[in-house]
Amino acid sequence: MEEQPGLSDQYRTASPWPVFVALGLVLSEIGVFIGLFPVAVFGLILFGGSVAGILTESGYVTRPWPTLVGVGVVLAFIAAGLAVAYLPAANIAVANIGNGPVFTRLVAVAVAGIVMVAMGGVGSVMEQTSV
Amino acid sequence: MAVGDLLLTGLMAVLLVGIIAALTRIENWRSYTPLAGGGTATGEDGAVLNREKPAGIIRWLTTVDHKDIGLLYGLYAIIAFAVGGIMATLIRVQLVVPGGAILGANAYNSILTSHGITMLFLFGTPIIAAFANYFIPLLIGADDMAFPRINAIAFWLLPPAALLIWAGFFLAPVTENMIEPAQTAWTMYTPLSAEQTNPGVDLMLLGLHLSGVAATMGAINFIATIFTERGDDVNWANLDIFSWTILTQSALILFAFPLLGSALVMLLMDRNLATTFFAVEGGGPLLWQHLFWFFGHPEVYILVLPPMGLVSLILPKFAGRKLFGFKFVVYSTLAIGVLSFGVWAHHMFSTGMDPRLRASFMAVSLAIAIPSAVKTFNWITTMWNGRLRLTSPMLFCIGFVSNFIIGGVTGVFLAAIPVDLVLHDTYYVVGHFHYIVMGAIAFAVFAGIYYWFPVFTGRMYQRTLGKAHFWLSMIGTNITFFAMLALGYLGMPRRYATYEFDGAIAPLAQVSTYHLLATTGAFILLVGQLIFIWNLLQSWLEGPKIEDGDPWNLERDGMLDKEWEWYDRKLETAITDGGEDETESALTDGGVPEGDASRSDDN
Amino acid sequence: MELFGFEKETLLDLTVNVIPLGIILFFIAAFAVVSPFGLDPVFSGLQFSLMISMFLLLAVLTYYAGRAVEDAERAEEEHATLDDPDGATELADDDESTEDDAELGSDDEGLPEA
Repeated sequence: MEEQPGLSDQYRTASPWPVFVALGLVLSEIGVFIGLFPVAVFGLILFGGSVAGILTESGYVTRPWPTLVGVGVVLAFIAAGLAVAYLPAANIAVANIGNGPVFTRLVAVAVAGIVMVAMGGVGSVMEQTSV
Repeated sequence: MAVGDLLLTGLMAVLLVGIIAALTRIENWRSYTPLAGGGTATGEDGAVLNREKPAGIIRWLTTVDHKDIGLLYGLYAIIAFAVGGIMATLIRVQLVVPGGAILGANAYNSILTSHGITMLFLFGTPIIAAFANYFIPLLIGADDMAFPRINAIAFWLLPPAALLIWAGFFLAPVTENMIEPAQTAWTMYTPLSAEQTNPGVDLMLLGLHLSGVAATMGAINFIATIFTERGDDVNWANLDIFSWTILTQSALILFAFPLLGSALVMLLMDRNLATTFFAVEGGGPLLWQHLFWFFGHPEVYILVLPPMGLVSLILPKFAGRKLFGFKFVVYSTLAIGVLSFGVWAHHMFSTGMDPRLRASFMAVSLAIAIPSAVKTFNWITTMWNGRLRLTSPMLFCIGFVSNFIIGGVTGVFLAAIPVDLVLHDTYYVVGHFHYIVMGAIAFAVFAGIYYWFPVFTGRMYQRTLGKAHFWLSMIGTNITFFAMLALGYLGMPRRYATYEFDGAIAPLAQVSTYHLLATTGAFILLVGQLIFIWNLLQSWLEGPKIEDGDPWNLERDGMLDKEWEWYDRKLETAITDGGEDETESALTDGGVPEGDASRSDDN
Repeated sequence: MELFGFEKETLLDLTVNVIPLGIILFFIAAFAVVSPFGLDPVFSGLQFSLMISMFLLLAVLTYYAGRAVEDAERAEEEHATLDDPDGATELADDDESTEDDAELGSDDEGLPEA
């Protein structure tokens, strides 16, 4: 029964990641919808990082960094796209952060995305130089 | 504000550092390779795997084993049941006197809202997931769920969801009532829910959204598991009834919960980002009701189908006969699944919809009564001329059938437009759905807990307490909710914190008497549930250990399902320490006479 | 007797869903004949499409479910007749055959009690 093809021989009954994926999703939702900037940024980073971690652990990808960069890019693009599509161009300015419910939230998402891209990039470079 | 932001940023940074630190520490044990020797190849053998799990609380935080997750779901749901039950008691105490006994109107509305949401989303759905997680893989001969990690993620979304839904109660004292618990009722009808400025409503909506995400993830997992992970000898012809109902339920979840999630996001955006989905100048308030009930009615069947499956599975075991018309139950379950998406507007007959539309919703609502009624006849016929053993699980199954008939028949009346227009928004509706939710769903859950208690605890519950629990629940349910049906006929409207109204609306003396009766019944129920919790805890810790893989003596009727075979195997391996799988059938056969001898203590 | 390619046994099992189908069909016919609220292209259209779509969905699902169960049963029977001499499948067969055994079993049960 357990000799199913495709099932890794490292089949584990424990994984640290699910709790953090869940926590990341919770914090990002609270942060984005309630409009708490730091919670949104950290929540999204935790979510993206845990997704990268859980995918690596379960063997869908070999290294976490590309996933992290990918999630970051997607988030940054969504935020930028929404901002361009729905906000008047004049409102998109650094001075406006903190004003207007939509713009601040989109900035939070974009910042989280950019941080993830940076983390993924740094992680990837450090790994290559250290090995 | 800046200070607050700074504080939050600091808190988040500390949290992130803490998580990274925790992860790097966990890495140490994470690198073990189970089954590396290749000697013991029993992936589903609990005894062997237990040793490879990390110890203590870390084990429960990191587990992806379906049995552990099932237990976590169970614990979570029981806690939610206790919270919801305490809220119900407060509601009933409040209504002892017409002026309201203990609560102000706002507090009453908060508790009423949270009671409904807690019982449906935090108790009902998770307790079913608890049974499904623990037993579906065992019943269909799978090693685990198809996606064990997604399974764990789905569970871990629930505790934060509960905290968010209850957040107002914790935050109101701290924030000087700036954030209050939501007072929208569980249906969250607009415009009320869109216009209440209380941030507690946002938190509750987020919590609900998360619980919906969790339910959807779980449903995908169950569908994948039942389709792809069945053992070689399990096919569509002999798939057990509980798996069939979970499969149907998961399909309903898959179509219903994402819709709830979208509607909730729309409502959140209406509240926070000035969109107009449910505003009069936009989509209109009635749009919410359509979206909500398009989810809400399937949700009723999401909650009731698996309990029907539990009863269909357990009742025959103590009637000594196979389920009468097994395939009738299967096909009618599927029929309910489909038709449940065509009846939603029967919750909205009094909203002034077009009468032609109302008529067609009534037609489908009457049609959906048939598959449920078919099941009732199947259960009764299964018991007919059977060798009934009135164990606690069996009592709860019979109680289920009895209460389900009352709850179902009252529902058929409500499905008819003329009757509904009279009884809409009265206690009749409350009585009707409580007969289903408490009288049927909770009863089936109790039956399941008692029936499988030996499997997940390795011990037997205390039979006298189990029976006391049944009789108190049965009597309490029928007093409380029958009184509500009567209150509905008297015209008592639902959701009111007080009922000091003019005698022209309803005869106040009778109304107070029935309210008093309902409260009395609620206290009987409360005592019953306290006994249940006590029985659960004490028996888990100190109950007599089960030594035979067939504590219910099902072998005699040839009804020993796979989960008991698994349990027997687990017992054997625990005793012989690493015994080979091949020897188990001989040992099981040898165990029959002993089981027979101890049959009389089964109840 | 074969209808839609089902055996008689399966057809009997499927009658359970014919009843709700019949009820919906009855209302479709009734509302087509008697329309006290008059006909309106939008609302009458919605009215009938709701009932007809439910009818079709239920019919289709019932068909495929019946198909899946009957095919599984047939495969099981073939399997049993092919490997009859093998003792192992006989054991498995005992657990698996549902309907016939259930009736036999219940008759046996009834005797000692009476």
